[in-house]
Amino acid sequence: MTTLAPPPPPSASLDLAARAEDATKVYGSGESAVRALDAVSVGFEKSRFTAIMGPSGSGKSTLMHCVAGLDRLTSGRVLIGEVDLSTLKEKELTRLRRDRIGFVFQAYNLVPTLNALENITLPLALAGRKPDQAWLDDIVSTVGLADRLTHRPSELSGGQQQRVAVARALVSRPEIIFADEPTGNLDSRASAEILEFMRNAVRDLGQTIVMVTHEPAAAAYADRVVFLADGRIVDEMAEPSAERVLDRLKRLGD
Amino acid sequence: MWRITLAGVWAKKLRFVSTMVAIVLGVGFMAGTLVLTDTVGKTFDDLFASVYKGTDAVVRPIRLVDSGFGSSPERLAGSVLDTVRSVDGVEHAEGYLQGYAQLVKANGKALGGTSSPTFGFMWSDDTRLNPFRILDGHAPMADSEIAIDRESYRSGRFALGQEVKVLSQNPVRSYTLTGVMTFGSADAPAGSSVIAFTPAEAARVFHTGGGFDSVSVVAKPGVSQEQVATNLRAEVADARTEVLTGAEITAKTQSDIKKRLKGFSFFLVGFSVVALVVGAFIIYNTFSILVAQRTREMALLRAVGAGRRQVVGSVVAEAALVGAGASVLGIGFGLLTAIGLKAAFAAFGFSLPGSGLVLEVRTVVTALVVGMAVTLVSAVLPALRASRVAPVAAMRDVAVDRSASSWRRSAAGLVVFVAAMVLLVSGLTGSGTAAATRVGLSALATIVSVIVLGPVIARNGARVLGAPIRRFRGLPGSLAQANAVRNPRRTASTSLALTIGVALIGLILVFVASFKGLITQTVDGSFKADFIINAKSFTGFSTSVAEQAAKVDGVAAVSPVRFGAMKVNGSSTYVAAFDTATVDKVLDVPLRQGRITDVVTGTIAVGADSAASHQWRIGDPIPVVFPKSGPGTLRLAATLDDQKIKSLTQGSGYVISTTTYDTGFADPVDSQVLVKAAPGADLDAVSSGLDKVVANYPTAEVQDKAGYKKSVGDQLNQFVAMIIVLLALSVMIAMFGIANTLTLSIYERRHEIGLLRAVGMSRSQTRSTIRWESVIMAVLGTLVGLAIGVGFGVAIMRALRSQGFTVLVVPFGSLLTVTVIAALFGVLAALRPSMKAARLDVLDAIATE
Repeated sequence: MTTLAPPPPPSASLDLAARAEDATKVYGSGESAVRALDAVSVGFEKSRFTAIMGPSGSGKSTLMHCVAGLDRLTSGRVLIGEVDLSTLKEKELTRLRRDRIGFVFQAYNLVPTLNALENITLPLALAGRKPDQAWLDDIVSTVGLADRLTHRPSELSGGQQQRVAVARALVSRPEIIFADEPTGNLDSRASAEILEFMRNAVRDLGQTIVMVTHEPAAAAYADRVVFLADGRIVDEMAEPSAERVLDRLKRLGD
Repeated sequence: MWRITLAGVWAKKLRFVSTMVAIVLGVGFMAGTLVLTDTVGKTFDDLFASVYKGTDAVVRPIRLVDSGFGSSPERLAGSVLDTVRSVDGVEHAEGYLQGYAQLVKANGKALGGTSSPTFGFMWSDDTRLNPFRILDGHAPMADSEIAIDRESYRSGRFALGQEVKVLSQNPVRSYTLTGVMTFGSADAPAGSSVIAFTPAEAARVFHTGGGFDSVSVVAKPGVSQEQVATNLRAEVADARTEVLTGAEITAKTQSDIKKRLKGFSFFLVGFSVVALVVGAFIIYNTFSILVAQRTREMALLRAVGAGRRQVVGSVVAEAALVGAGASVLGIGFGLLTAIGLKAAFAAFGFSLPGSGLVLEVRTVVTALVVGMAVTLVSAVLPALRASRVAPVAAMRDVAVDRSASSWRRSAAGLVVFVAAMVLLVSGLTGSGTAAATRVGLSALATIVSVIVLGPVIARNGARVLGAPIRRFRGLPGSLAQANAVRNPRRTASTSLALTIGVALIGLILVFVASFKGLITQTVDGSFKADFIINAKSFTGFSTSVAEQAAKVDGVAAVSPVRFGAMKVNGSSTYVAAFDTATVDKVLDVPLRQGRITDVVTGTIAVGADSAASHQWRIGDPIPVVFPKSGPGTLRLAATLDDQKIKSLTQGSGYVISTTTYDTGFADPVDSQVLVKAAPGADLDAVSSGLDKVVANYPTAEVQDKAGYKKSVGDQLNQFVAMIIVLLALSVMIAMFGIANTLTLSIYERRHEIGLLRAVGMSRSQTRSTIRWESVIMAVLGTLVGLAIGVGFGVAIMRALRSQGFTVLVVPFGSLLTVTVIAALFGVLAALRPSMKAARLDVLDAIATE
């Protein structure tokens, strides 16, 4: 066991787009109970690119799912802005995900029957809202998909598909975007492209992004890395580089 | 990951359940119809075996004309009984009489429906010839006394000693109920309601003039049935009278009944075949989807060296297991279906006799063979197709269904469709059985072409149908449309399951609407009468109704119409008899040549085209056979407009005078009396005057023109309702198929549903997506079905124009109703799948394996 790093200050600061307080998630019960998250407290600052890292089984995906309102905590609480997710009903939670959160997953990111443009505007269509055309054009040109908008996902490469997913995450101007291993299925060139987009979105557009990854190279694009092990936050690092992250991970594995 | 695995296992379990239900329902319906007809058949077998148990010989009139089910119109002279009694070897002989009679309950309503036989007969004390036994009280001894069967006694809540009204073709008469009878050990024979009269009263009620329907004979001990029959033949048999042994009459009556049941059974089996075909679609579709989902698994097997045969074999084995299991369950379900069908028929006033269920070996074998065959054939096709995919291709991503854009498919489908249309035209312009066969083949070819063209129709149809949904239902609507279009083959076979049943409904709706239109046109165009006194049952009513109606104040003219079966120029047909002296005042008779008053005793009027085709001219003799008076000739006195006279006489086309009728037929009864009020008469007063007349004749009712049209319409509606009930099971199977396809598709699409849920699709939006996809499939299948049904309906009605069916009505309102109901069925079918989709665990669905 490594020594516990001091937890980040549990501030109610308005600078946080989302935060978890004493977040605990237990799967199963009795002897077979697994503690996936163990009283995790963490905040994600606005307009920052945060990476969550950790070995598999460390609870990084569970943390992301709980903070993103895809899963519920066993105890503790999660706030998006000032909204406590545990007080929300299923319907309100769904609406919150639709209107205030963006998602990029590793796979199955797109609906195969919709074309690229329809996939991008999906959250708006679900809300029955018209996209802000100028903003949409902006995003589309930023991710470089202008000539691919009428293509179906099956007609796009893996990298293009993920770019559509990023564009979709951006389109509703969410308060926070969660990316779960967004480059897990991509080659290094396509990965670099996607990560570059995400970093630009944070830097130029002031977007807040939380990314779960196990690749140090990906984490290096973030402003800050949070390390998880055995369901606890064990360390964090500002302005990471791939070497330092790798180094830290190695020590985690010890 | 274990939850996804579990979901896979659950889906596999579902595969068996869903496929099995389709087979169980289809096979069950077939088994049920067989069980029902066997049960009814056996009931009649037993019935007649016990009726004739003690009878050694029967003397009866030869039936010259097959007038259908019911009492014999011919009679033996009363003197025959005396002759028979004197014949050597005869120990005892008695005359027998039977005819329409019906009990009236205390509440004034008649007991028994229009279909279950209600009859009276001549009581006999001889226990060998009379299968009835008195259970309580005593047999009728005075002419004012009756005994009734125990079933009627119970259901009518009668009491011994009570005065009971009895309906017959005579005015209502009251009798004292003195006895309760059983039929052997049964309460009543095969669901009928029976009244026993004294011989004298029976003769009066049935107007026999001393004659009998038949004479039953008991031979002396030691004299065989054959011997006594031979002796009888020598004495009484002639051109009009035959003698049968007890064994012969039993067998003959049983086989007569069987012949009639055959039509009924054929009708029912037809509907069960529809259900099976629909079931086959569902099974085919289920296996197609499951095999497609397992294509990768199968490809892997093939890649590691399994032969095509092994791969197909594994699917076939699975199908055989499912088919066998489901067929056995289907037989069990069949027994329930038989009970249900019987209840449904009873609800339509068509009660079938028989208790207990007869399960013949033939039924079991048929059900098993048909169930297995349907399952295997439906499963082998998709398996063969899957095995044809090269292993490497299959291991790549899920194959895209391109069947909708295959030009070969379109070409093949169109060729079959054109062939169907050629057959239809040649069938409709021809005549006779061959033409009907061609129309049937054309229907079959049309269905085949629709099946072949299915994916093409499905893709384009779903696009068009989905467009408004897309517009008004936003993203869920768009997704529903896209999902319905993305797998056209699957959408097609799911929708087409509904098509077959709906096509039949469309056909019937066109027939019935056109027939109603015809009745309206006929009544409005040709009836000068203000009122129609109509028979409530096939038995008609006494001719004295017309006599009394003529005396009602304000009545200017009264003219009766009778119907009867006879032979004209060698073939059996119905003829209409008009009172030709008066019919002109109440009816616009569509004459071509001659006058209707020329049609007097010994003459006949025939459709002009029909006369021309036989080269009959006015004055020519036409050979006929009457049921009572036998062979004779009628001279042609007038010709009529073929189409109009057929629509006036329910398709007959032959008109004779009532005077001719009375000489040729026994017991004349009127089917209709047309009444014309005097100019300026108070119609309400005339109506109530007529009501008073028929009050004594419960089988008659007074209707004005509108009421007459309505009552015909109501009968037709009931017919439509019955057809729809019989098709209900097919529609249910089709609905189940939609639900099944949706469930399997949802499993296949769980990742994208999970994604949609994650990015903010609400549960209700998810349900809406599935629901609208279901509605698109249901409405698509329905519209294609209606197009086929209405198309054929219109074509057939046009072809029947020369038979008097001059009116064609396409009931758009009803068709719209059917479509709306189909859409609701779509919603219903989506209920469970959509709930399942909405409850899908988002985390599992988006997890990467």
